[in-house]
Formats: sequence, C-alpha cells, structure tokens
Amino acid sequence: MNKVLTLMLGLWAAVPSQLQAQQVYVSRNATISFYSSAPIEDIQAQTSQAVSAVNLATGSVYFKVQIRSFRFPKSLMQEHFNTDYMGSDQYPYAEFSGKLQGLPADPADGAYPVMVDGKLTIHGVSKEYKENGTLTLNSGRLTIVSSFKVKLADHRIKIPSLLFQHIAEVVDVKVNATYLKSAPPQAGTR
Amino acid sequence: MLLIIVFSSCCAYGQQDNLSSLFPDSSLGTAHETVINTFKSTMIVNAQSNETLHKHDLVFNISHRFDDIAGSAGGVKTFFGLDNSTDVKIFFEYGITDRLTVGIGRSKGAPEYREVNVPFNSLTELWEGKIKYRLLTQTEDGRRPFAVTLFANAVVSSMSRDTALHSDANFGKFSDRWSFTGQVIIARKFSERFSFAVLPTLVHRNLVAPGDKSDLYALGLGGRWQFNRHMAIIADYFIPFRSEATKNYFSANGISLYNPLSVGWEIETGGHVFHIDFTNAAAILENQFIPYTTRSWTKGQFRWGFNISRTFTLGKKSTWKK
Repeated sequence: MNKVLTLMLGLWAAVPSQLQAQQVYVSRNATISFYSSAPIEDIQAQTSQAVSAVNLATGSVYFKVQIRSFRFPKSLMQEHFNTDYMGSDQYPYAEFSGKLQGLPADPADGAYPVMVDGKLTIHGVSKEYKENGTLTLNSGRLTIVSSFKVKLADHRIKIPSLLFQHIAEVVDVKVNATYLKSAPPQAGTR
Repeated sequence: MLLIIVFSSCCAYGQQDNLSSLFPDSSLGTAHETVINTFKSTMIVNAQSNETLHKHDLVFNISHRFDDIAGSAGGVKTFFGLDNSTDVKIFFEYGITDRLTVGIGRSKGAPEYREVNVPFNSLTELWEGKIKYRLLTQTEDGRRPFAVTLFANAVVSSMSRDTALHSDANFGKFSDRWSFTGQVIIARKFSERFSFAVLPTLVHRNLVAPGDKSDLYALGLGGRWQFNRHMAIIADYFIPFRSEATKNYFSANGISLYNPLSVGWEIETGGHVFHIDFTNAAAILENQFIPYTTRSWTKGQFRWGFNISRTFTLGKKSTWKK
C-alpha cells in the first residue's frame, strides 16, 4: 500500500514537470536578416543558422546567432562586416534573452500578437528592447515573426568615417523562426 | 521520499527555463572556423600575402616607385626622387574560386641605373602572368595554426635585344626573355592586430650575366600590424641566399647588392586599399627586386611609392539568397 501511494505521488509530481518540459519549443534554423540603405548600395545580409527556444509555460524566449554565419551578396562586404564593424573574433555571437507578453495561459492553435521584452547583446554590448511580433501555433509547430530596428550606436558599432560606402545608423532586422516541440527530457520522467 | 520527488521535478523544470543552456557554443558550428583577413590585400608591400580573392572578384592595382629620396639621384634637384620613377606596374587579378587567383600585369622594369662593366640587370617591358593557390587556411580553434598559399609567376620581356656582350638582355632565343618566381607563403594571424608571414622563395632567370647563377633562393619575411580599424603598418624583407662565387663576381665588378626592405602604411576604405611605401627596392616584381636590389637604405637610396588596389565584385548578386 505504502509503495503504491509513493508511486502515485511520484507520478503526480512528475506529470506537471513533463507537461511543462513539453512546452519548450526549439528552432535550430531560425532566419535573421538585416537591411540598411546606403547611398551607393544597399547593404543586406541573412543567416538561417540562428538558434532559438521558447518556453510557452513561462514565456521565456531565447535567440543566439553566430555573427560569422551572416551571408552577404558580396564576399568582401561580408569580410568588412566581420572584421571592421562587428569584431566577430572577439564577439562571435549575438544573443537575445527575454519574455513573451500577451500570450494566453494555454494557447490553442492560432496567431497571437505578442510583445517581447528582453536584453539583446550585440558586439558585446547589451541593451533592453521591447518589440512586437507574431506568434503562431499550428498543430505542434510554433512560428515567431518579428521585425525591429537596431541603432548601431546603441551597441557601440562604429561606422568608419573613411569608408566610401556610408551606411545608415539604424538597421532593420527581421526574424523568422519555426520551432518544434523539444523531446521530453529524461529529468521529467525520472 | 515525497520531498525528494517534488524537489527533483522542480529542478528539472528550473533547468528547462534556462534556455541558453540548450545551445552551447559548440552546437553552433564554430568548429574549424577559418581565420579571415590575415592581410587586407594580396600584397604585403612588395611581397605577396597569403590572401587570394573571393570567387569572381576582380582587383585592379597600380603600383608606383619613385626615385631615391636622397643620395646622388635624390635631393632637392629631383624633388626627392619625385621627378623620376624607377618602376610602375599595373595588374589585374581575378578569383576563379575562393582558393585560386590568377593575374596578369605589366611593369616597366627597373634595370640597373649605373654604368657597369657587366650588364646584369637590364630587362624592361615586363609582362607577368601569375597564379596563386590557397592551400591551407588557419582555423580559429588553433587546430591549423597557420595558413599556406602557393604563388608562381612567369615574366617575359618584350624589350628589343641588347647586343652588348654578356648582357642578360642579349637574347639568343625567345626563352632567354623569361624569368620565374615560385613561392610558399606561410602566414599566421597572431591576433586581431598582428599577422606575420614567412616566404621561402625561388627566383629563376633563364639568362643571367656570366658570373651570376640562374637560380636564387631567398627567404622573405613580412608582417602587418593594425593600429586602428582601417590603418596598419606593413613591412617585408627578403634575404637572398647567394653563393660565395656570385657574391665575389658582383663585388669584383664594383656592384653591391642589398637585401630589399620595405615599410608601408596601409589604409583600407572598403573596396579600396592604399599603400604608401618606403623601400630601397627600385623594382616591383619579385623577379627583379629579390636578385637585383643595388640601393641601400643607409645611403639614402630609398624611395617612396604607392599601391592602389580596387576590388570589383563581378559575381551574380542574386545567388546568396537560398
């Protein structure tokens, strides 16, 4: 009897944790692109190698991207981006860590306008951002789309005065991530 | 017992919310990332760097060397050498792949400027074809601590034959007009700011003065120190390994040979790279300045010169988006 009770209690304790664990969605090929208009030539780049995770139970959201993974239409531009602007040897990643707001407790399938509030670190400099996005749930697949502006000066990214191509001080960033539910971790079923 | 279960479940959940722990650096494909921009252009000053061009990039380069700043050819009379130029070179380079660059160039050539008994460095009107192959790249993780690039050129002179006896321009046959350089460029980017290269080199000239040897081995050293994001100090130096016999031959004929040392200031402006150089080498081509530098820094026989290079991207711009 005692053993059965323990087992039942154990199950009861384990079940919610497993449910919450299943609320974690992971994306390993999130797309991030940015665009900056410049007098001579517009500058744009894209990566599909960003990673992200969302915990719907807590609203936590996390993004990480390797700076070197951004691809430019011109290889020379890509080199300048890495060495002259971003110092990607010294600051190899950009990260965002924040909370989703405006999401119902147990969202059903559908599209939800959300507010994301958190800290973005680029070029080793962090800044608080509050941006709008759209979260879509569709039979186990979750998608987050957002676009926002990054002011280069906020992250101490200097525009070299010598550069022939003057670029805009504010860059438009677009994020598009599709997530799958992460496999239930072993801890939850222990 | 109950407490333990509740406790363990709470912590399992706690770890889950630390989402960044899902993505350690190693999971983002950082392994063996290649080091970029060991040098900012395909040239250090006079020496080749290990850099090749990106696929479908075209570089146009103009290099110029003025005459001696001081000494008998310099001074106020020639406005510190600016009235004359010892060598001028124009070349194009093109990236066939990210590893393979080819180029063609034309240089005036810097023949020996003094009257000498043995015309040992007479070639002008030099046409160069060159090929550069990036064999190995340095990796960020240190697994491959240096980069290796192979360089070779073939240079032919279109000048009219010099009929002086024993002149190295007294071409008996067409092949006498040719010279070649082969080089292994071993380079390492030590830090964001400092790169260094070692260049074992072989220069071969098909026709040389009677006491000279066709093959000359040399060791080049080159470096780049970046002092802000767009400016750097660059330098290179070559040590030719001449045999005692050829050294004696030249000194017996009153010819002093020096090791070429070049120092420059590099300014990079996104697409353009400017070099403002000071060097005792009168010539720009390896085939000439490695074996035949007869001017000395200590006698004021150095000059200023410049290299201007402009990169054009010719590749299709739409291919980057998948």
